[in-house]
Amino acid sequence: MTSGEGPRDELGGGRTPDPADPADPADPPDPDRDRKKARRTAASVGAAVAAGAAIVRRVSRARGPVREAADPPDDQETAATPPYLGSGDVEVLTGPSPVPERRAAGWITVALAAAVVAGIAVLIVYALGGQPQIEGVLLAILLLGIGFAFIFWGKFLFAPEIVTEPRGEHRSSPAAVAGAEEAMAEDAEGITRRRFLVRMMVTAFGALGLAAIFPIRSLGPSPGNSLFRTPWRRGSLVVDETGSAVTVNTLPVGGVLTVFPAGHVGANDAQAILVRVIDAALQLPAGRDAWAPLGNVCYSKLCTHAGCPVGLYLAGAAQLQCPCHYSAFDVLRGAVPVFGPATTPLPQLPLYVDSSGYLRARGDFTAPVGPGFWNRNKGPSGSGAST
Amino acid sequence: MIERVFRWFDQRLGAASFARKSLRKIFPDHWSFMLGEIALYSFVILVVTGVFLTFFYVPDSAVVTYHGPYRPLDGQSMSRAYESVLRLSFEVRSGLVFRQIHHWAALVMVGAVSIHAARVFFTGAFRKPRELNWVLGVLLLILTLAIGFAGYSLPDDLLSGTGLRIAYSVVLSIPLIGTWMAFLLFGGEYPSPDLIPRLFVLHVMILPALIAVTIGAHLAILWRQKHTNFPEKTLRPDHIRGERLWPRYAFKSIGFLFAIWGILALFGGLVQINPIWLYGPYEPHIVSQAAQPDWYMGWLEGLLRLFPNWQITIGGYEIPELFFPSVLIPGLFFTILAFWPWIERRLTGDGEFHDLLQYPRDLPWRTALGASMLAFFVLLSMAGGDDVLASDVGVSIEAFVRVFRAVVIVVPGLVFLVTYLVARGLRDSGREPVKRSPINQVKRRSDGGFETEEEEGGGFPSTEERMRAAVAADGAADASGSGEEPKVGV
Repeated sequence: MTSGEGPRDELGGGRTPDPADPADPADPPDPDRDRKKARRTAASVGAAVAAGAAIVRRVSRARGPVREAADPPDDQETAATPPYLGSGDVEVLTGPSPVPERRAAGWITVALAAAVVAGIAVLIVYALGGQPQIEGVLLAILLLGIGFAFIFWGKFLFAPEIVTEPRGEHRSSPAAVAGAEEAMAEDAEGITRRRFLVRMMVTAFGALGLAAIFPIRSLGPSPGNSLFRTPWRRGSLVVDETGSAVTVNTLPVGGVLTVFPAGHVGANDAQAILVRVIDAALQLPAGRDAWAPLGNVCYSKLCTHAGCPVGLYLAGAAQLQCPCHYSAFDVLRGAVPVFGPATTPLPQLPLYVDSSGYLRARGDFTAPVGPGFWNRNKGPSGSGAST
Repeated sequence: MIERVFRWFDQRLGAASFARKSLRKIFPDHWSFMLGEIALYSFVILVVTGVFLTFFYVPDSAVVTYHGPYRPLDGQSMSRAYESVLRLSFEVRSGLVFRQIHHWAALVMVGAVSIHAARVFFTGAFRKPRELNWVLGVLLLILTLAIGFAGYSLPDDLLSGTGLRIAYSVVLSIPLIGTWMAFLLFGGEYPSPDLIPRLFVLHVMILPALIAVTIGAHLAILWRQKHTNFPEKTLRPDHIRGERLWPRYAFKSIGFLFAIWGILALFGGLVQINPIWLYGPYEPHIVSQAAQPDWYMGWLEGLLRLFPNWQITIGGYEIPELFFPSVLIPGLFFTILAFWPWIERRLTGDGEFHDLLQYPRDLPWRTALGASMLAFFVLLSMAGGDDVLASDVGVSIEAFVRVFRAVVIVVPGLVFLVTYLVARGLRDSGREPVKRSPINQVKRRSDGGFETEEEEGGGFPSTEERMRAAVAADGAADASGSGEEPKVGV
């Protein structure tokens, strides 16, 4: 654990004895053997260098390749041995810290001192009422100080070490597998023979599962016909966001206004957008001619794509645009989609003018409002399939 | 003292041998192996700051009138949830800095999880025997996206409320079960007063618990299987190389943890994030323009903006246009991602154990596929801000969308082609991925020995294959010795 001012002498000497590769007594002593080991070690240092251990690289630059302590070989580059360890070999490469211990300790002291000062400062700032920017910076100094102290400590006050060792098998030995199977099979007859009971048990678990599903039903009401209707009724007074009634002349030509039925201001599915256009320019679908008195045409404000409010109006093109995904609808032609991902026109709200000049609805929208769902065109009876 | 504590535990749990093994455990070192650590440490700081936030946040959509130090919203009606976040930001000491650290940490965590997944993908680290951890990792990615979305929806501001509105429409679009699912999940027709409390329970209890358990399993499996190594000329496939956990690696890793927290604190203090007081409280009929979600939702936003207006009607029942880009495509993507180890195995026929990683060049088509998917996601995220980009470039949004519909298909195709050719070229060039070791390539001599070969000699096959071949040859040559044949497949 020491790391000196100078390099350690036992460089590379950490290679542990190799029990898995004993010298075969039948073989004569191999004079190449030591050289072989050294070669392996040296090669691994090369790899260690590449693995990012700048420390070792520094050592190997300064002192040449790391060498076996006992018997430094002379010609490593020509050693004709594979550069990797034998199966089961363990290798430990170690070297000195690249930074003198005293200097590293100095850095750590500075980092920790900064942390302590910042910690005290953050308390003072807090006591004085707090200030987000200063608190953030002081917290950062506190945490970074501790962080760098740890990193310096780890990198420079411990001897760098690169260990290579066998991974071991992922799977168990065949004997262990057989043993587990045997243990499992013990008294298995007590299960396999009881077919009826097993089936009953499965059924009981099925019943438990069903019973567990039912509480989910409590999470929300049935969709019923709530997706098919809004608070708009025949005779509903058209009001703006503040609740004031809207007359046929509230809007100038080219103007837009978000409107609700009186008594339901802010209701999500009732939101509608009233647009005033030149009466003669309207080309509404057949049967809707009387629905836009004096060019006051009104559509659901919920985009038929993903349900965002259709909040942009391009007066020049007479298009309503949704700022979420930029579907565009042609106000003059019944709000058919003319661009973007929406496929369905905005439902229209049929209007009439009452005797006092106020705008009122003739009834609900022409279609369910908002984005599509599977039985939108079939009506709420279709939802019976999923009840 | 430490010794006595240690003894006390060992006498009760017999922890010594496990402790010894753990402290001596080897961790391979590479910068890209830190990405998972960043995700983990961000999660820890998210829990710490999140607990603080729960003391002040009120999950309630009841309407109140705001009177507080933030003058522009004085007198405005808003939900209690939104009001509590305003109080947390302006009146609770350290509230804002903790809230901003929390948000930044969330953004960093999603990023770290994503890039970590990409690293594992490009290096083939998911191959046998690590398929399980890949699946858990994909699950973590999905959970992280979900918890992020639930979290930024909690303040009930105009931006997140619109996002929730879209999420409701997405669920609604699922054929047959969509209406019921939406009503059960959201507590009725949008906006239901049950929604905010539900999101809160999801965000602070269910999802964090699931994430914590999944991370635990992910790490336990990593511990059991040991980390992969990049191939090195001197590393056998059945060996691991790295630093022991104790003390050097542990010190560096703990330091890294504090450093990440420090950087997040710096961001949390200095860089404003999610200033909900500028967005205003949510009201269903109000919408803001040039609104973009947090970055990790950008690709979905882009998909929704670009996907053509296709709607299918079968016997009067419709599959809404929203279903394809928001349910079908993401669903397919995450399904394929989760099953990728098996899909690739089917395609390559490679069923071997792999503890050594691949360099991206080693399997060019996989790298090309991954790169093209990344390009696809980046382009989609750009399309998610198409209104801003179009006005920056000075073209109409219509023109921008039309061009981008082609771009998101063509450019990833080109990226695939170029990446494939470059990766294949690099692989066949025989050049080392990185200048790694000064040792030259090893060649077997006819007399059974080995000799080093100069770099220019011959092709340089995929490094793990080469290593396996060399080891097998060495094993055959050394077989007379210990008789220990290395167990490696070829």
